[in-house]
Amino acid sequence: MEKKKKAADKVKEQPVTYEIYAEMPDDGNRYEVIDGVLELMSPSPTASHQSILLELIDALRQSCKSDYLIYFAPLDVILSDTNVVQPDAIMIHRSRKHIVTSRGIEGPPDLAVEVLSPSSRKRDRLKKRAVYEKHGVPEYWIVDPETETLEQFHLGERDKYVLTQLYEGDELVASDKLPCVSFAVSRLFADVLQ
Amino acid sequence: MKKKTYEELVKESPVTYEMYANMVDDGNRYEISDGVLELMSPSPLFIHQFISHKMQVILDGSCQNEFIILAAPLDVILSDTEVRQPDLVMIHLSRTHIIGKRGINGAPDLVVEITSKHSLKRDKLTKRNVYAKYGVREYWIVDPSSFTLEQYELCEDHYELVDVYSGEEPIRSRTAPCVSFSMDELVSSLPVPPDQLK
Repeated sequence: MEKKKKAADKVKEQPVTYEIYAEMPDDGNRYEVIDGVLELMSPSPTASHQSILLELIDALRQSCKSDYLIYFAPLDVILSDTNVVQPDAIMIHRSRKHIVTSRGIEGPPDLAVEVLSPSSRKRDRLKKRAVYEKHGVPEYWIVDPETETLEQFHLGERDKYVLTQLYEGDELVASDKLPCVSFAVSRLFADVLQ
Repeated sequence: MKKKTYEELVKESPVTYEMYANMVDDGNRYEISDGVLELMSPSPLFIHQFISHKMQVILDGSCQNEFIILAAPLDVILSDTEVRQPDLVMIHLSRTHIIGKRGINGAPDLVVEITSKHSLKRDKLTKRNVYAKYGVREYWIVDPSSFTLEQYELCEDHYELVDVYSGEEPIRSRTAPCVSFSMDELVSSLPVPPDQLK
């Protein structure tokens, strides 16, 4: 009871910082801190979400493992004191491995990926995109299980994300900034049961 | 002058509105994309047509005192070498001078594309850039696979995604403040369960 009250109180505190977030009692839920606001993450991801994420990690590890550190959620990415997020997948160039610490990742990864689910669709497309943009994550991918596509955003002029490509079917995902990337987007959805 | 077929026109560059308007009617729909003739995807799906019709009815209901609302096929002639057929367009009554015999001569105030598997890439990449370039103030992409509506607003020369609507969230528009509906209204008006249309 005491603990529950504590967690509920924290949610009301503004702004929520990494320290506050890190000290919260574990209530079994996952949270993110976006612009100083504590946000409850959607319940548990579905089997198809996890299957897509696993395939993606597989594909990235196959061709990028020697150049990049590859991680998947849950893992805190501490972009600032008031922005702590858990992207579904990230890649960090090995030359920047110093941003990997005991607390999580402290700074922008080279790539952040979100696999959409019905409850996260809006967050991933708007809020999280804005957070990644603001903190200089150079590349952001949105994988949409409904349309079986991968949308690729790059930081462009004015440090704003530009949708540079939308991959579908057997098209090979590729990236100027991440030259090791090469896989057919259809691969991600091969094991989705429906 | 002998009318040209698609096979003949597709080799020419740039294709202009005149050439397009005088081509042989082969029953297909085309657009001119930066001077290139493009075949539009086959026939739209049931869900595409249903949403298009329903949205037109809803928008007409709340906006007809301020806007003309029209559905495809209708040429939107953005330039001599850029001719598009958006799924829905809204034109403010103060700008009816852009309505002509051939279609719309210029940028509508609001354009809606209802995506399908064939058109997703075109709608999100090419058309988004084209509508921004020619000054369409607001662009909606409606995705029937997830029943969401992405709302883009023109910000100088490019679009910014300002909202993503689904469920009961009321759709609001600065371009057309008369707009008031939700994606749930569209879903609940489907005559069959959505799964039957997958």
